[in-house]
Amino acid sequence: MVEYLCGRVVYAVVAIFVISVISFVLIKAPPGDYLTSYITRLQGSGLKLDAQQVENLRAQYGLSQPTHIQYLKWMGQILRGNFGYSLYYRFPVAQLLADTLPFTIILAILTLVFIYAVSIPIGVLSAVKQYSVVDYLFTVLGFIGLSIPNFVLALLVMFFFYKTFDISIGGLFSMEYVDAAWSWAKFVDLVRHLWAPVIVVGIAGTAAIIRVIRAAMLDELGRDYMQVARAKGLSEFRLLLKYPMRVALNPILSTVGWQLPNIIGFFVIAGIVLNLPIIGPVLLNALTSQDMYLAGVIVLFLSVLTVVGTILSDILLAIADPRIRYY
Amino acid sequence: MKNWRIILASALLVAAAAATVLAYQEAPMFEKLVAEGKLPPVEERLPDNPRVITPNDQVGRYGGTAHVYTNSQFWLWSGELVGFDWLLTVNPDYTWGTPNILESFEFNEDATSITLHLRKGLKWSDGVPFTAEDFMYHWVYVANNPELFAVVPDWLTTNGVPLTMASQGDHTVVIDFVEPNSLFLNYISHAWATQAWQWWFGLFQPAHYCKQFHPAHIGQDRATEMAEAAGVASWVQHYWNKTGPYFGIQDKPYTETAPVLTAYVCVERSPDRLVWERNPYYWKVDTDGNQLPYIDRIILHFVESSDVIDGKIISGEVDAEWILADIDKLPVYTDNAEQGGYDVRLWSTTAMALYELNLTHPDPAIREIIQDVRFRQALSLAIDRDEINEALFYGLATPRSFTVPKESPYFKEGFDTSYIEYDPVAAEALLDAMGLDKKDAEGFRLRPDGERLRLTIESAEAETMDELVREYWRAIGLDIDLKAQTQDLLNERVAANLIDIMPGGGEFNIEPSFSTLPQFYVPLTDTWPGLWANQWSKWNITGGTQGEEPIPAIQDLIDWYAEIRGARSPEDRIEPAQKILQSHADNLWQIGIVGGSPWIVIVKDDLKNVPETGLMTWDLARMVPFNPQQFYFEGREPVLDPWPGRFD
Repeated sequence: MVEYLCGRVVYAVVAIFVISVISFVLIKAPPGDYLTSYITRLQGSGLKLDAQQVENLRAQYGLSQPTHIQYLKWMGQILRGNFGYSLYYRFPVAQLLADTLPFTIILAILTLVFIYAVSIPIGVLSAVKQYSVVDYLFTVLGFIGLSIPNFVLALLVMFFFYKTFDISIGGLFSMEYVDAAWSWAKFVDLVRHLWAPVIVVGIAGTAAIIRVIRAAMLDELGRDYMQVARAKGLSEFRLLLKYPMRVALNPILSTVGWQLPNIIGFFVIAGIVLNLPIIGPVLLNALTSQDMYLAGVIVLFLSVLTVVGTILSDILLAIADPRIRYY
Repeated sequence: MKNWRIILASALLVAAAAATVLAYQEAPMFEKLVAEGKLPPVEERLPDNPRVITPNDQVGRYGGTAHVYTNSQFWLWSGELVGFDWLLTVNPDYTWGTPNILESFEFNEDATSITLHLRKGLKWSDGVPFTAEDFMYHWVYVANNPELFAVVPDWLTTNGVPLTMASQGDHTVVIDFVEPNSLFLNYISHAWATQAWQWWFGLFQPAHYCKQFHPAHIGQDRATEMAEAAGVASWVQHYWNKTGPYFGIQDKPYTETAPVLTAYVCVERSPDRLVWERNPYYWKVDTDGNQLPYIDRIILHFVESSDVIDGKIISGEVDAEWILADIDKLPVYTDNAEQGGYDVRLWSTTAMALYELNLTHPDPAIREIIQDVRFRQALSLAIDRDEINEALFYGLATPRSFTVPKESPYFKEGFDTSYIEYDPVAAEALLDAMGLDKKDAEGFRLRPDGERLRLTIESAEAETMDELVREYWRAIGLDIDLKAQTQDLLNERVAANLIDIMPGGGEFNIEPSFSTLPQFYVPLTDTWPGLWANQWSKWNITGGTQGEEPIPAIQDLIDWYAEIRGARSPEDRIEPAQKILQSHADNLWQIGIVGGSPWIVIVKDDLKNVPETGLMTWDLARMVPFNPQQFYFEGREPVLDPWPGRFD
């Protein structure tokens, strides 16, 4: 087991390094750089820059060096704990992450809980009552949830929440609580605002998990051991929980690790529409403005999350499923 | 005896002036600070002769925090409520050159020398006097330091020779040029004549403050040391980081701000918002002697998309929005106005909707067609401008060929009506006459070499107008495609000269911007807007090493612009400007669609002194001519305590 884990960790470090190189190169791949787009924007208000002045600026921003030098410098700084400076936001990257990460993780975890809390019972129910009205109803609902674009749902939910509950549009706090110190009222306000994004992003994820659970359950329900257990007099509910569900959860456990980065990805569009102080919109802005330091750090962070999540998944599976062996 | 009377009258006038001096009032926040001894009294903070602003409707009241929004980390947009201030300023009635930071100025006869008179006692936001030294410091140690600015920009030179600057005492600056430069008046009436920062050359910097970061004053070693301690690569970057003012988002890398001359001082910056609070040394008063501005605080929220701003407008969270409200959504704004407690006003803009054809197209066959004036006439005649006006602008715009608005001193009858009637039959006849009369099986015209004539309209955003125009041009047998892409890619493609046709917003139509930013009329830039005469512009910019030599008719435009630059007086500019505009009317270098389109301004019900109608254009610096410092809130409580830590 320990050997197995060590091997996984070594692979993980190599994978993260390769991902960081690829993402840095990809971010730099489009023509032009941060300065090009910045200068073009300023020209709209009459800025005229001499070519020599542009070169000066490029050198000051460290943009005139070749890509591999820029990468090595960047990596060297990150290993020393300095995440660099965002050209687009003009804030230290570390501060941007500190501002957005807590809400990002809270939202992602809540959404994950929402997805599992909704989809596992429904999935099991659909399998047990296969081809019943309930099964068809949830199948249809699930597919609707899967097919409605995220941003449309976000707009609808936001409008609905504004009209019925008078919850301000966008953001995680009402205007009066933005500057307020943490209090019970502010917490309640936050909880009121958290619902919309959790539902919007959760619904798309729910449909997929329902299908997975349903299929896995159906595989198990016809097995001989079910008959044996019933013959021994186990109640139907205990039977479901104890045997087929345990197996049906395997696909969930093997994916739980990368659900978190997945959900953060889902939150890009919803985050923009709902104006959430989370990392998704920051990543998008960083990419479109070719702010490679910011984009690089976020992509790196997401890939670390994915790789670590996968390792956790493997461990969880090993614990939950005694059939798994290590070599 | 007569002389005595004059002296007596003058004495009375001086006494009257003194009486007004004593009557200055200030915001409650500062009254408290004066009482606590943290600020000098208002009479000492104001200059001897403050600029008096006549309120738009009535004298306002102090108080309130304004919430405005932007969807960009680059632009303040309605955050421009904080106001810009330049040496001179622009007015809502299309005039400019009104003394603002300056008390007065005068040109010599042939416009080779200008004398600037500063207001005595005008102070930076930290209370230090604003003097000629601030100009001289910037000119000597910043503008002419090759590490801070590589070159002196074009507008501060005549015939390639930079200006010379000298101070006469604390309050007079004399600027000399080797050639006449009446155009300098235009520059110092607009965004050029401002506090310098890394991206903007400007004309002055707070010398007392900036010197503490400049190697000429503290030594190279100390400057480098400071940069290293701050973790910045060079002293240059450190200098700009420390001395940038807060009047634009562009300058917000700084956690501490340099002194400013504007009405508000930035007190907080985070990735989510900027907070400004009133400047105690602001040098404008209203007609009753109240120190401006009226509004205590401005909070600019950064949001991710303009849809969020629309949502906040209809739910009444936006105090003012004058840039991002979309004309397409007018019914949405008006339907929710009562519930949201705001007013929807229709202003207009001088910018024109137009189409740029690539006159220097890389494909010689297409270039020959586009350069044929009959082709451009046909394209113009094929467009039903009235339909566009009705469908997209509620009939409020004016169909126009590409030219300046009627209010411009350069406008002549006929400039705006060149080939704007809707006449597809005549358009087809023109195309037939120029040899595009053969059509393929699908009914599309063939080029002389037998290939189908295909052109693509490329834009940064899919717009309904492009679709309408495509249908008009297809109706006369042209195969037109549409392609929307990101702005950055579009810019790249313009610079690489890969585009056939592009929609454009013709700006810089009226002075002071027409003569200073002539790129829509004269090929002077190869980037923005820069498509219509791409290669000719490149030739012009690179001194003939790149691009292509302009055809004679285009060279004329360049020569006439040189006359505008060398004019001795504004009147001398009229003739060459009209020649340029006549050439545009005759040759349709760009296809104008409509001008004077309506512009939405959203104003919260309790925000007063915002005009009912006006012009919204960067030519006149958007809200600047309407003096946002005199906007006020009816019934919002004054903020009594300054931002935490500000005056401690």
